[in-house]
Amino acid sequence: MMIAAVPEVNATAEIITSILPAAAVAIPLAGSVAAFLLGLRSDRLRNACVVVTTLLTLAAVLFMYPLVLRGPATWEIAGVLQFGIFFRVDFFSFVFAALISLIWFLATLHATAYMAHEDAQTRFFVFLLATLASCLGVVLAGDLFSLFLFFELMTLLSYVLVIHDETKDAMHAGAVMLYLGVAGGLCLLMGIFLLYGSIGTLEIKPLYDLIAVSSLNPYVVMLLFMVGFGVKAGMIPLHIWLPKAHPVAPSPASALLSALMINTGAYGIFRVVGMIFTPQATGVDHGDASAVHAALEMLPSMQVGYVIIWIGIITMFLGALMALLSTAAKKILAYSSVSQMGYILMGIGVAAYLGTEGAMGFAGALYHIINHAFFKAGFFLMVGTINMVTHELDITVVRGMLQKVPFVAIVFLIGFAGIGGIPGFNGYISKTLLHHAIVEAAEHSHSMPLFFAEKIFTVTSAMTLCYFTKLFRGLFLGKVPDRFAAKSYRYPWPVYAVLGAFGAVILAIGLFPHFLLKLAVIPAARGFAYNHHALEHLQEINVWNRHDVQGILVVLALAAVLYLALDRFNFFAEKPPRWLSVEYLFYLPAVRFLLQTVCTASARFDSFINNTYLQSCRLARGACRLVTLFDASVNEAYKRGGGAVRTVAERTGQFDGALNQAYERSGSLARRLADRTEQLDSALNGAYEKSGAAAKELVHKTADLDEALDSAYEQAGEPSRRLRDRLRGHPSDWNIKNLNFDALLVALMLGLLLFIIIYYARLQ
Amino acid sequence: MDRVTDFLPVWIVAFPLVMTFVILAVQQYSEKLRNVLSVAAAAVSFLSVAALYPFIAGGEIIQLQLFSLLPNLSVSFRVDILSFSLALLASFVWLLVTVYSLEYMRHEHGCNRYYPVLIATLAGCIGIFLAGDFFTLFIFFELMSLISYVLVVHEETMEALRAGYKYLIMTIIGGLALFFGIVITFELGGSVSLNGPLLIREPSPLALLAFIAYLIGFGMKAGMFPLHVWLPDAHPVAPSPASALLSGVMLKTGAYGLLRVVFHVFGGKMLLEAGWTTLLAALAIITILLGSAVALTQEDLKRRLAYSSIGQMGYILLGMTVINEKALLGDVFHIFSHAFMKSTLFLAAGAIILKTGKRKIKALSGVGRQMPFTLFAFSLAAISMMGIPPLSGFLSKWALSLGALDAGKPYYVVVLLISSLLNGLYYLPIIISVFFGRAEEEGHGPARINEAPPKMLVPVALLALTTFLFGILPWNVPFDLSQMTAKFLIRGGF
Repeated sequence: MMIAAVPEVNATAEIITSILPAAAVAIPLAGSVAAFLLGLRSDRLRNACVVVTTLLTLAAVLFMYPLVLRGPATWEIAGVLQFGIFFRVDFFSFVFAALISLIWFLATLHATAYMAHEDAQTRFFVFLLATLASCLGVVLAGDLFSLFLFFELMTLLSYVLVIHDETKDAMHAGAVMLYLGVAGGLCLLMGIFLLYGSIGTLEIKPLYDLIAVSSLNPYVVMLLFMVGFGVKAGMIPLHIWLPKAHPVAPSPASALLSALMINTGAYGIFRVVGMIFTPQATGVDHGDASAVHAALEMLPSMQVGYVIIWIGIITMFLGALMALLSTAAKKILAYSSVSQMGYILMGIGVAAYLGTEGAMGFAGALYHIINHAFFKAGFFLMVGTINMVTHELDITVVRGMLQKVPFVAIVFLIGFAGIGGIPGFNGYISKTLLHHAIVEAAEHSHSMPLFFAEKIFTVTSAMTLCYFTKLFRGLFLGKVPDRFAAKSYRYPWPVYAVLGAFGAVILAIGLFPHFLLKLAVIPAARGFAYNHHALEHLQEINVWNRHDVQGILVVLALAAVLYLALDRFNFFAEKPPRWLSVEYLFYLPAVRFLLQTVCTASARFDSFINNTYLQSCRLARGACRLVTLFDASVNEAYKRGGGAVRTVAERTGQFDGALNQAYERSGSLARRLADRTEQLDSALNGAYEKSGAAAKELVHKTADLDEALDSAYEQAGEPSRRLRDRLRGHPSDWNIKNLNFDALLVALMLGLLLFIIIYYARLQ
Repeated sequence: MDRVTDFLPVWIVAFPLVMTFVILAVQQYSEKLRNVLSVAAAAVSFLSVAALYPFIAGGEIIQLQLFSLLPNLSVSFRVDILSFSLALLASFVWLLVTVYSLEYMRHEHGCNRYYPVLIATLAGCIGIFLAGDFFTLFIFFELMSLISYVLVVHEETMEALRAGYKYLIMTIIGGLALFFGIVITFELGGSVSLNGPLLIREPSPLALLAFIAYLIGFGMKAGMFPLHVWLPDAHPVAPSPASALLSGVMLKTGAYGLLRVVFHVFGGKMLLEAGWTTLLAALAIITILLGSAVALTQEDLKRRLAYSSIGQMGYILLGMTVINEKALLGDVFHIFSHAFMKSTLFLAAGAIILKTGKRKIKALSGVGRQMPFTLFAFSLAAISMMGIPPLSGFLSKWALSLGALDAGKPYYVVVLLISSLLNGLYYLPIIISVFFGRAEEEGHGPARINEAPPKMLVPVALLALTTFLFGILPWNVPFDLSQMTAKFLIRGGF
């Protein structure tokens, strides 16, 4: 498959171009799709596909070894997400990738047996592989953008693994993990924005020279990154999801979460504080080392390193304390992870605090990451193996497993010795290195608190032994309860193989600690800006000396005393008060504050605005109603006024008609009179013609009469003429006919208006 | 004037309008033909818009003055890269939603009213984007707003009628304010054309009044605080495909108008110097936080989506106050990605409602087992909404935030991230409960798959796929268009 593809090596001096990093991410992704499709058909085929995929992934990662020895291997998938995904694998990344893919392979192999009787297996395996891809992506990423992409994917994908059982506890744990993860992711994103916004690059390499001259506040950015990665790393006080989520997941998933995924948080802090915020290595001449040292004294990453040391110390101590107080096996293991992350954080802190001198802290932290991954994954798989039969893991219930599963008990003891730091087992060297580191830091700074921190370190190591003794005693010793006695404790071969492999690795590292130190840890440190002295010192270190062994003997003695004392006072049965938990003290109130104040207040505010609108609408409607009333009354007034006007007009019309009639009548009378007079005249003329003189006289008389008649006529016509004159004199004053028409029109319009108003009134 | 392409904008706008009447006539005889014609109308619109691509990508601006009403006042069309991007988006989403409607509306009454109105609204919507001056824009703006009322009240329930009434009132207020702004612009600038230089160059009280009038007019449509009140009522009551269009596309007309106002009427430089962007920015920030926070308290699925739209529109409004290229790129791209995401969400919600009849989020527990594909699409869009890479919502957030940082406004980024967190808080529980929650009526054995019919599933799946592909693909059409648009607008819009 893709492994067969010969890595395309760019012959240029340092940077090597190789598709392998992309392949290491792509193979599990493709495998997850394949597993989904095969899962529809057959469980066996799917399991085979899953295991083969993890094996291929492991191979792809291991093939990078010769490349990263020469220099960082890079591969860019340009244009994806517009920004481009950039892989850059140096030796440090390679160590993480190899660790992840190896343990993933082992856990997956175990999971094929573990999950055989569970629901929704296909979903589990699909997400298991997808999570592997994102996890590898985080450590192989070459810039913070790609890292963030894979980091977010990991948060979302691993959620499905955590809530696999879908019990109430699981859902709650998953929700806490998811929300904290998303919130942490956003802090990370904010840090990335600030960094990119001010220096314009996100590449993972020493960038402090750029940061120093920019306007960036390094403390704010480092704080954001610390929170973002700290959530994943289970750093106190951001750890609350971890003891909830790790125990509820199916054991193989718990193993991966606890052993590997929390390391991505540590990896991120390493990269940011230990690399990005450090100045470019300039091949310092050791002659003026003191001058350089003085110049570096004030580096922000060093101050942050000091803070990280203390966060680490607190985390390791409180984690161990909580583990002492728990009784569920997986919960003890989860708190143990918190505690062990404290060791790792402390190492990172020392490495950052001592700047170029911090190789010891670096080596301790990285070595402990490797060791912790092996024994913690082993532990979870061991208790998972027991869980396969008992379905119960509380050490007060499940007991005496030594008789039932002696093989598991032996491997458990090996792991126990490993995590306890017994010489000959793997934890010894990393704890010794870490111890050297904290002593170095204390001596370097001559600070009293750090000497005190060293004491806490020792006490915590003793506590670690105590809670594992408790776990071992609870789980493996004692009498087997009846309900578990009758069951069959036979497992398929992968279970034995995987557990055996873990035991073997823990022993091998423990017996030959310098092999891995020189093979992996020191080459990884060369990618960082540690000075040659410190590295050479590391190279020469021999942990098999009286002083270091003496240290562990002190721890053992302390542990014995502590255990006996605690057992005597029945401390293990104590339950810590609920109100003391950081969840109760801080997170719940914070969430409640957010939900109740912010959201409820916003909702109230929103509905207030809505109501304001409705209210103003109502007001407007009220105003409209008033206007309507006013309008109606005006209308009424008009109507009444119109009626009056109409009456007046009608009356005037009648009057006019009467006058007209009177005029017409008097006119016709006059005309008739005139006619008559004419007839009379012509008769008189005739008579005049007939008669002579008499006629003349008569004519005079007639003329007189005529005059008289004339004046009579005139007298009769006078009043009507005067009226006519009056009417004719100012016709525009009151044209009766026009007035009539106007009134009609007004009435019509008023009626229309009324109609509209009534219509709308009804609409309302 | 003599090229065919010059008349293409008219065709693009007129074609759906004509089709509206054709559909009105045809549906008397055949329902099937009506459906076919509706899809065809949307498809032809999409293709016609897409046909402009070679010209627009070549940096051309297509202008056409149809006829003139008064000197300097005419009905005209103008297609630049911004118009083109949005018209393409609108017609694309419209096409998918129309296809989706075929199945969804089969179970509804009043389809003879729904389809013509749907197509007429498309005409109005595209008309807004292709308008060459504010007067034409106003006409189409009113056309779209008024016609879409019918979509809002489609269910004719009391609730719908009330929401529709509110929508209508707000629309009228917005329309009047917009008209007021246009009148002032005409008075001050002597023209309302998008073609000329900046219309108002000097800050003056009257100009501020115009700016506020535009804010009210377009902000009302965009769901800007405090004019958003109609949105959470109107969007949920409409039939789901209409909700998808209202939330996915029609809200963007408000954002589009404001972009035009910022870059064509006043100019970014003047707005920044006069400090008027602060007003818009403050409103946008309140819109973002309010919308996101209130969404968290909503029990009804579609109502939660509607409030989420308010919050997301706040991103877009905030983005245009940061007047630089990066932020504008994020701004325009967010118009795209929000359209894809929100239509996916509403269409998926519609499918859920159709299949299960459940509207309350609490009741959705375990639905994912029943309708895995629909809910997968829903989840993809919701996660994109939170801005999780590699989905498209992340890209817009990324560009917006970097733009805000370039402009020296890191607290904008904080607002965006807080909103993302809130988005997570209200979307993740839905995703969790649909896939991993137990259904109320727990059956024995694996849940029966009862998936939405393919005609609904395909549009939902396509839209969800765009959310994914236009996030991760190097070959990203919306992103390229946004980039060109941002450059174009910063250059001055010519």
